[in-house]
Amino acid sequence: MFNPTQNKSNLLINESLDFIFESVELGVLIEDTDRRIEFVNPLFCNLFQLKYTPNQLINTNTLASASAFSLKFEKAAQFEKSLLDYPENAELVKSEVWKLRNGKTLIRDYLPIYNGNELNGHIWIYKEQKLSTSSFNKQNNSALLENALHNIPGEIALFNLDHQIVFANKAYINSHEKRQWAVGKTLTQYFSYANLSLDTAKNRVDNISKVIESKKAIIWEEISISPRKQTQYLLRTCYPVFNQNGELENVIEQSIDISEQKNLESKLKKSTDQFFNTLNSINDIVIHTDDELKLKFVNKAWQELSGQLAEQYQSKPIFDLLSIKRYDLYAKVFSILAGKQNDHSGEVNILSKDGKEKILKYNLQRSFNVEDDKHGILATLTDITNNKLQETQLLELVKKEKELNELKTAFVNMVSHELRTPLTVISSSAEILELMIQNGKSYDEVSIYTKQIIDEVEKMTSFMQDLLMVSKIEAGKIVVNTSLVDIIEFVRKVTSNSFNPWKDGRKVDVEIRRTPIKASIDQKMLEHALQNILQNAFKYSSGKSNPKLRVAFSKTYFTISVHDDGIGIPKNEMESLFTSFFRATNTSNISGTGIGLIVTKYFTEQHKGYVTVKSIMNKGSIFTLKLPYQS
Amino acid sequence: MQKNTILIIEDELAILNNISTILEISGFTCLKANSGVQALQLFETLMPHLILCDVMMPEMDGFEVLQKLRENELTKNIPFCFLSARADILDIDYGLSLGANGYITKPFTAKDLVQTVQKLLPKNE
Repeated sequence: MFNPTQNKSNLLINESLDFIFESVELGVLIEDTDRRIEFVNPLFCNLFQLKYTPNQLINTNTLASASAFSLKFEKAAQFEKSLLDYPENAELVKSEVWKLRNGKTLIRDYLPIYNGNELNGHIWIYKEQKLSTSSFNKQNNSALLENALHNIPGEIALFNLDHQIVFANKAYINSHEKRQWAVGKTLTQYFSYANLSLDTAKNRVDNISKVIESKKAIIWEEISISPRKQTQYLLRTCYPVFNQNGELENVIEQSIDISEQKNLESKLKKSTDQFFNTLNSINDIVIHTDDELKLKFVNKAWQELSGQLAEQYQSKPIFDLLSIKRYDLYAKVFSILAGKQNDHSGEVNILSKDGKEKILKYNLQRSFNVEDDKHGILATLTDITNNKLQETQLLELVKKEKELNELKTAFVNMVSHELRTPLTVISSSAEILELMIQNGKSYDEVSIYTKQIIDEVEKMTSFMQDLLMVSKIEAGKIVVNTSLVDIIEFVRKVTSNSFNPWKDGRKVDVEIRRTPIKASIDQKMLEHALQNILQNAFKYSSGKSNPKLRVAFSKTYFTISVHDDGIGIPKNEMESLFTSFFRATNTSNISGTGIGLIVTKYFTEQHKGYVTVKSIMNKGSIFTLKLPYQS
Repeated sequence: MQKNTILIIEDELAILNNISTILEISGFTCLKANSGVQALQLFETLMPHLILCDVMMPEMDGFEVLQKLRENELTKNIPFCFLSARADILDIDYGLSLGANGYITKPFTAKDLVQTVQKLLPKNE
């Protein structure tokens, strides 16, 4: 156990110790293992603001004075406890900070006293923390700064002009050991040591060199793969650090992780790309101009339609692009651009790449360009050519339907008229006959009426046959029966049968050109065909000169044409001439069936020939049958 | 003086002759014209008491004939009757709306014809 006498003598052996402790700026208290105070210097009493002198305290027990010692501390109870609990944990005491109520701060340190391996006592050292000392302040500030730099999320490193790392923060080099190692090394050395990409190191070193050389900052982007395999984008800045004399001393290299911005940027780009892709994939043409009506954007639909590349019109006036001369439209465009009008739509014709005229529906709007804070024009154009076509077709269909209905009505009227007229003759003739027979008239006197009845019945029968013929023709049920026929003889027979003379006394003037040739024809058919055009010639030239029939023979075909000086055919009705039951508008007062020409055309075609018509209103018409010798 | 002179205008000769024959048997005096143009020349000189006129005729139809007749101060009061194969009620209405006094549809009986003529002829004073 501790022998105080021995110890005291031990301590006091060296009187100079007293002197040293009394002269240093440290408060010192030495106690034995029983906490008996063996030594205390005046500064201790001074620091603790005690009323006692050192001599009064010596040989008293620390525990007895604990409360007196603790009195002046801010945390008096805690300090007292620390005095009572120690020295069991005394070895842990190292630069403990204790604040006094007078604003001063005491630093406590502990030193054990060993006699050989045996603990012999404790030395407590107190010193006052002097904040005013500039060296301490500097140290403290730089520690603060260093700490701050470590906690910055961006990478920061300071290099000297020899490219050696002076400082690197935690973000730059994460591991404490590596960071310690790297100080004084170059980046290349560090990257090689840390097994990192030497290409990256080289790039950074090159940039540091550039900064040293140019004394100007450099900014660049660095792409790296993070440990989590994610692409990282770093915006790195390297800049010179000058001393007070303006000399280059260091280079700082720092980086900010801009991955998030980059991702946003890429997302924005993707969505912009998608927007443009969508614009390019739609069928409508979209045109965007600047405030001077120069082309900023036009989508692919334009190229598809016009076959022209949009690039060649970039920044050129849109009227060049559209090449339309519509001054009314120009005026509208300017009016919208000036904000006098919100929008305008209409139709415009544009020549497509295959030379076809396209009808486009357009809409013009004023648009705001974010880039230059100015207004431009946004035009959309939709190809409505097909719609228009369909519309026209639909209208035509409706028109046809209407025509068909009119034709039906006309047909019913025609049949009614064609039957009522002969019926009138028959009925009136029969009544006259009855009266005459009652009055005992002779056969010669009444025969004219019986003949009239027979003629009219014949007319009606022939009309019925014509109707049946049309239905047969339309069903394609006519059989051609040809034989070799002398055409001149054939023509004379047809004209003399019923046309020499016609009921108004006129005749047919026949004219033959070139040498007559025999032809293989169906006599009945061709007679019917010729009769029809001859009848028409008489019917529609009432009161005019004789119709002329011309037969001409050429090498491979012969023609029979009938000329009249009649009423002619309206030009716009020529096309409908060979339609069943069609009758020209200028024939309403001339009875007819609308059957004749369709029969003529069909029979001629059965001979592999065709019918042509020339006509001038109020001048006359020429119907020509052109037929081969062998059908 | 009995007012029984009838002008018949009809382009179909058989019908023209038959009507004339039937009316003459019934004691009327008939004048015949086979076109509207020809009839116009006869109006003023002959001043018939009644006109029977076909509708569908070349050059000038019955409607036009009636119009010309009514335009003329001398002839405007002559009774006028259409004789037509156009037997639709619309055609009849149209004809009457133009100022015709009667409309006979084809075919007709002799009895109908004579009765209509008697009805339309101005009465003796």
